[in-house]
Amino acid sequence: MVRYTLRRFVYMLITLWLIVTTTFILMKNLPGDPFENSEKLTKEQKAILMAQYGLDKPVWEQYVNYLKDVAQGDLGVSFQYPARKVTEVIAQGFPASLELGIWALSLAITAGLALGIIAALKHNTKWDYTAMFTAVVGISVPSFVLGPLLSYFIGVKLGWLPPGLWQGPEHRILPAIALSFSTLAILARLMRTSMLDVINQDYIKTAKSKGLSQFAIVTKHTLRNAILPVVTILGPIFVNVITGTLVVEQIFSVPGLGRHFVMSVYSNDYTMISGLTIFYSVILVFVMFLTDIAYGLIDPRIRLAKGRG
Amino acid sequence: MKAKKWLAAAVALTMVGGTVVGCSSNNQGQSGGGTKGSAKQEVTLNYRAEPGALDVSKSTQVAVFTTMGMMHEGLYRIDKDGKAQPALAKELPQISADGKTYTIKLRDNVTWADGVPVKAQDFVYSYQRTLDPNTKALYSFMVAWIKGGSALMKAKTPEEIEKAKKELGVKALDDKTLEITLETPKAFFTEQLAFLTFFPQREDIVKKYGDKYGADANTVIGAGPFILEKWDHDQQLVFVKNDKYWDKDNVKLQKITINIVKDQNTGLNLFQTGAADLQNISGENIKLWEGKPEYLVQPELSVWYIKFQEKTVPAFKNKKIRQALAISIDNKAYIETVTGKGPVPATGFVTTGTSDGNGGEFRKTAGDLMPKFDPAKAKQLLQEGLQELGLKEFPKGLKIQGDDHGVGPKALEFLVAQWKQNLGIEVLAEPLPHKLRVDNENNHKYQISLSGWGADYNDPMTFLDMWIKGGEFNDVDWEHDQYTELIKKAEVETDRAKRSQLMVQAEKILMEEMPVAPNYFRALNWVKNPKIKGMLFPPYGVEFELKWAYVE
Repeated sequence: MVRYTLRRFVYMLITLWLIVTTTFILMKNLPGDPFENSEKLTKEQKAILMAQYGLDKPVWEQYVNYLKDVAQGDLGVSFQYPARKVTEVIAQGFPASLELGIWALSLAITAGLALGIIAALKHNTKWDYTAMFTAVVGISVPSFVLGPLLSYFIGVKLGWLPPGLWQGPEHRILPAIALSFSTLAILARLMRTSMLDVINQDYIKTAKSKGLSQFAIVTKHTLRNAILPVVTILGPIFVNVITGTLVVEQIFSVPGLGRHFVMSVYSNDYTMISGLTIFYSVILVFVMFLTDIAYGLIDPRIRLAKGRG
Repeated sequence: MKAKKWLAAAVALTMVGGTVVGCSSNNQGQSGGGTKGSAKQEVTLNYRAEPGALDVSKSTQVAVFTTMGMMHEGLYRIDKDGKAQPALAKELPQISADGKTYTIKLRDNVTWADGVPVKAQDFVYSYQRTLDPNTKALYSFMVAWIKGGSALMKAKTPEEIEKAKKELGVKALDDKTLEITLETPKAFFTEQLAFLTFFPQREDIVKKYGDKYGADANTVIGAGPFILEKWDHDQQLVFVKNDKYWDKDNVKLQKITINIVKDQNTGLNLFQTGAADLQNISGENIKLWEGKPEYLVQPELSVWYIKFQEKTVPAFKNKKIRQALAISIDNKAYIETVTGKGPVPATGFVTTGTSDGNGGEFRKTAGDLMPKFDPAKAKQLLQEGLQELGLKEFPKGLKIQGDDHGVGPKALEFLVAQWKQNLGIEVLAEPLPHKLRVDNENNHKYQISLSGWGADYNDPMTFLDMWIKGGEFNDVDWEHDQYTELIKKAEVETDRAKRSQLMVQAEKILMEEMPVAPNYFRALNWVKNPKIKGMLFPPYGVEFELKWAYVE
């Protein structure tokens, strides 16, 4: 197990290096300058700025410096916000993205599992059809459509909740719904399938024949087994939700990291692009690393098979 | 089974964690209550951009100018008529006969927000810091108008820099008297002293915070009507009235909350629910608000125009071809189709609202110099131009580049259609990311480009000196000796009336030769709570001015 873990760790480092390098290459190929008001810069001013940020050095030297800085956890200073370090921007923006992600995921898990369970228990009834219709809508309607609809109808027309901003608890609800909807739908469908699989197993039939109540069968036997496939995809879904808040953050004016991502590409803010890419990559790769380790723990065949390969 | 328990625990933790994290930060903010239905002197505004560093020397963004305009002040402040009124200065400057030396007395009772008196030395330090090459200030070119400014900007060694600072034409004659000597006279310099780049700076604060100067509410200080009390990045800025401000009796607002709302529709939703008192609008939203008491238009000193690159397309060296392409566009229809209400058709290259440097408005002094939309004449000019060049037809496959966002793509489509319809020529639209479009322009690597220019200061020169022969921003490679001569003369002319006339003559040449074809003067559109009175929307510099604002 130690060898297996070490090997996974090395793979993780290699993956990160590849991501960091690819980001650097792509960034260098972006046309234009990274400076604000670049149309008004004279050649002299541009040269001064290029020198300040080390962009006048040969590309290989920039690459080596960049790797050194990244290894030391220094993601540089933003070009667009010259007094702010990228790590500070991340530290200020990530809590909002994370919080929104957690709210959305909690909602998706609770409502998604409930829908899935109801659909399975009331298989082929109007309950099932309604739950699955909701799931299909959830998968088909993207957050950039759902978000503005919620903001306008619930926020403005009905006036029930604030249509935007990130202040009191009431400001969390609409963005969390918008962000959770597709995940909720995926979880509902998965839970339904998994429940139906379990319900048809022999041991459930045995339990029924022994005269156990429906409630006891569902809680003691069905749920615990049916939830396992759902649990295994929660890690990637979690990462997906916290990194996928971009559109929702923009629509509801949530001060998270998502919108920095697009704006930094748009404005050629090199340090911000690379910093955010590395930050998200580290989260993703680390979650995958943990998932690999967890799989290895659960099923020894996995680490043996991989070990031989 | 063990593994299952472990995983179940993980799920439970995630869910509980979610609730805990969610709850723990719930109380961070405050509700975004608007001021509707209340006479409290508080306003909540939506603003589309997070300001960068609040640093007098380094700022170039309008978001920073607007923020600093609330919390800080210069020697003068621009009033509702666009005129400079004494602010930190006691009175308008005494200007020497040659127009180069400005002597300015500070008010006796002006202090920084922490109570420290504002001194003439704070201005000297500010200008020296902006010009110091180590500061890398982009707007230093304006401060370099001060005698010895360029020398300081170009100084290399620490000794050279120190020497140049001592020789710079800005002196504190005493704590309350500032003397500025310019390299050449600048007719608009008094107004310029109201611009952020000429605000004072506190040496102790700049040195104390170093790289963090201006990064947060507690690392910056001003001497203006409001104090920046709170700055939650990407979220909110909160200002409160500065009780140490010299003119506090004329400041009515007690609190200003600015929410950073980048999505315009969300901003409008907040405005409609009363959670915001101001929101900028564009495109289709203008039609929804036009004619309502909330709607207002803010003209800008900003021109949008077409550039013809003369080196990549030799046919553009011919004046008649450029004129044909310019007058075959119906600029009125262009605005109606592309931008919506607000902008006005260009009547020259210098925008409406720009001063003529002689107490008047340049557009009124120069008149309407833009040739009228005339498809028949355009066709004729194109034929004549092609004949002069010995060409049978207009070059094929030419591209017009423009921005790929906002009104950019629609504008390109419109122009291409106009040329096709009115001249029978095919030009291809090439929408590009903004940075790439600008990069192509800077490198003179385009054929036709749809571009814009906003004034850096309120004087025609900010628009006209771009097109001199070999000028830094003359990326169309147009070369006209007489034009260049007129601009160079105007730059050193001390007689304001003569100077103004020289610039009028220069613009006449520009509009006759048409190396660039202006389309419209831009404007911003807003919706504002009608209960807010006295709020100004100046055409350049800050986007809005709240010193005199109040809630009715």
